[in-house]
Amino acid sequence: MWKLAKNAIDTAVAQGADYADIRILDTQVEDLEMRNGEFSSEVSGTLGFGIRVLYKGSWGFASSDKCSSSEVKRVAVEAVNIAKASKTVQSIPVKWAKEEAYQDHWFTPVLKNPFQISLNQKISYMEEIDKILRQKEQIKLASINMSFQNIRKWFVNTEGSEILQDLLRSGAGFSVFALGANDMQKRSYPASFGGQYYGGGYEVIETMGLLENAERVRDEAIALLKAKECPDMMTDLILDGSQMVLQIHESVGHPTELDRVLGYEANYAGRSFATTEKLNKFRYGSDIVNLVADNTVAKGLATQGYDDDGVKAQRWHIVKDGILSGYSTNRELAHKIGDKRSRGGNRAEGFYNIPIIRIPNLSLMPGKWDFDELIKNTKNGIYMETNKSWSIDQMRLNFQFGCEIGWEIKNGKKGNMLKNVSYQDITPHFWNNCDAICNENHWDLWGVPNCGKGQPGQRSEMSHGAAPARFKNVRVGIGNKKK
Amino acid sequence: MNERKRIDEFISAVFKKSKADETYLHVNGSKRALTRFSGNQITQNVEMSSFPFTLRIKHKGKIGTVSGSSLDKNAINGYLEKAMEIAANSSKHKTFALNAKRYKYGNINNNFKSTETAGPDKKAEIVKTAINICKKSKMEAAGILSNDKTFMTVATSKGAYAHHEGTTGVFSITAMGKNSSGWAEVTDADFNNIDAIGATETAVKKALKGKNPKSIKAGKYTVILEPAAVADLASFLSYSVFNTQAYIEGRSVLAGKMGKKICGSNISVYDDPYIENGLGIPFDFEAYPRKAVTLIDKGKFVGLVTDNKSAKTLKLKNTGHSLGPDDTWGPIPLNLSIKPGTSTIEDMIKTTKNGILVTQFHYVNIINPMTTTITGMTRNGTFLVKNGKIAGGVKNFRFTQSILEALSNVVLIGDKSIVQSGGFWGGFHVPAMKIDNFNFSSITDF
Repeated sequence: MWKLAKNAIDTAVAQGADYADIRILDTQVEDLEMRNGEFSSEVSGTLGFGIRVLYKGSWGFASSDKCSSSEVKRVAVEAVNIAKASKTVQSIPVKWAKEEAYQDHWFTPVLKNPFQISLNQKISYMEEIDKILRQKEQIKLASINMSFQNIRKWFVNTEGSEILQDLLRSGAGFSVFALGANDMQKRSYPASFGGQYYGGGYEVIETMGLLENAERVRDEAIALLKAKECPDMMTDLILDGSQMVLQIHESVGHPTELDRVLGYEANYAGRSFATTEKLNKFRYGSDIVNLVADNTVAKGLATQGYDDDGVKAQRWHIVKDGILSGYSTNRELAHKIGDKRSRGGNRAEGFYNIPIIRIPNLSLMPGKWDFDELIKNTKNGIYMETNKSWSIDQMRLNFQFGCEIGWEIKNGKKGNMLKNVSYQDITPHFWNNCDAICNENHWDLWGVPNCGKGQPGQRSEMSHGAAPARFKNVRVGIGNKKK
Repeated sequence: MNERKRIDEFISAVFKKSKADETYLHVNGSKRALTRFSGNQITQNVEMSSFPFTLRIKHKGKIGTVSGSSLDKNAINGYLEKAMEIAANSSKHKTFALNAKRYKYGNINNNFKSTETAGPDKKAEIVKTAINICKKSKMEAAGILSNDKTFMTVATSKGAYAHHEGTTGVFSITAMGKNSSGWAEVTDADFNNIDAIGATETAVKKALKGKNPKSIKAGKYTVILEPAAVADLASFLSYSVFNTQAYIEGRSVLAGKMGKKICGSNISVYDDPYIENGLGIPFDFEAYPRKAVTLIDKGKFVGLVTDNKSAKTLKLKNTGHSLGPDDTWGPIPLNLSIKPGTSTIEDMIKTTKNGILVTQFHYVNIINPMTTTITGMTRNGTFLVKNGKIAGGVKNFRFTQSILEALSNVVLIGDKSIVQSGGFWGGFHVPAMKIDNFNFSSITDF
């Protein structure tokens, strides 16, 4: 592969490229699903390469799934030709931030390679969970899934970097749908939309407590059919860790991607209210709000040795003591906020896409509260768990998120279960009303395996750490009957 | 080598080497190119070529599925061995049955040389023209110009074979002023029909008209939804409301309502891959012929799309809407079309005393499938309509609204439909609509 990669770089330079890099990706994925007891699985393997070039400050990119010497040369020539076309509509050349050249082999620490765990073992575990989930007739659909991904990535650039990375992640979860008269309620565990994901091997699945939580989650789905609907009203809101993840992702992660901030996503994913003149000045949240980006954190889905610009992974603040303090950046745009070095936020989906700025592993730092104490301290409010729906405006201000389940809090006690729970607010208003965050005993890192962005559309993965947190005076139950 | 020949040779080699009782192959190849611009210059310019495939085998009643990205004949033995290994470890599949018939499919001509051959220089030239139009009005432009050629082949060792090639060109632009923006998009199989200048002028006009937007209260309004906004409603009709698997499992609002009125009598909805200028294909992912199906006729729920499995369950004819022989999502109408009316958008504005005109929705998501309630934001051109005229731009709204309730309150339907790509070889063909009592649940700050 190294020979193929160097061949690409040499060809691009011979064609006039000022900078070139190649990523060769060999990706193995195993997806398993058990749906009402019926098992299906798909194993996929993809191999290909993408060549990116800068010609007089303009980008060109081409890719192919044919890993041969002649194809690499053809694609390198094509990438330079595309860059030459880009040059005709580019007034400001790309300013490329400096980075050391690295020769390294980085890999995700793994105890149990999931691709070496027998299919039988995985199926047996899923069958045990399925048996519990479908014990009660109100459950019309029970779905259990597991997913494993291994990426071997070679990166070579004209600056002398030669980096090999072996990245492995594992995920699992289940969902049940309970049906009643004109009603359907869903519960999921550990999280919705595919469950929980970590960087690591099969050992992370064994720590999730899937079997231990199956009965409780199943019964909650059934109980929701008879639960009261969350009224449309203003109240204090406590979110569990898994919903906090969605909150961080949509209202802090995306608005602080520097390409969005600068308008690169204006026609599709949108822009951001968190514009660069606000850096180190803007009060994003209350002074207990600290959000830290960390692409070195153990078990993170964005944890790698290097990003797709060849920049070493880093840790930095996005929000410090409530103040906007940083962005996710790449080598092309770092200079726009006065940085000499990229934060290492450029990642591509597969070999066939060009890298773009993505959300890092971004976590809300733990606070001081014990969860039970937080409930006791709340006179009137609602506690919500597990994301169900999400929508946010293109500047990342007005959001409306739904959860699978909620409970009333009255005079410091968790009361009636509530269904069809949702909440809506404006991002800085919401984070400034954060008055309590639970401590590290309630904190976990949650994987997001399905973040979409870019044209052509690309999927990316990252993790967010969070503990439950409380927000004052939030509108809940949007569209339901008013209290 | 000719791409079809490459695909066919790969399929023949797989069938020859397979020791399974039955073998299925689906190749979904593409050559895609996309020029992206923002800040009045090209910021990304990419070409991608890939020929991913899905290989399924059935052996001793058990299924094994593998997929790959390269039609590399040297790797076939490895794929087949893996599929056999998966099957050996799986339990017997109750419903998996492969198509054994080679059909004569209907003709859909959405394959154009003009689209396939549009190179980076040509696209750069078009983008430059669009950017210059924006610059003249002191606007910043962001958008894309793309041209894709796609290849779809489905074949089974039992004799089914289907192949289709199609092209899609898309120009999409957002023109941004100081405190307003406008958007327009055109999609066509024939690159020569992509009117980038017209779309750019529309986007600029919207941004100019919308400058200094006012903030008005959320609440129920009469809305004029331009076709792109209607396409968002249509996409949720397709993926969620008319999902036949959800209907079978009772997870659908339509369960038990066949033949009953579910929306206004002025609404008729079809799934039709053969519609003129559509982006469809004449067969499904099991190689069964795709048929046009009426879903809503004058407000009554009259039909569902089916695949081989669901047709047997529901005792209906197979309409050719499979997403794969062991798919678990269920058949959905990929080429959903709403019957146009007779009104122009100007007619809708003229007849509106107090309403909101919406260019585009953003980040729409389903809240409750049983009530068809969705939420999303307006974007890039939201206007107040007062006494039959556009009175200026307004800050964007969030809507929280049941789709079927909205389709019960449609007072006028546009006379022209647009095509909007919907993925999975589908697209929506929808007109503008004027709808009463549309629920805007909150506002935002721009």
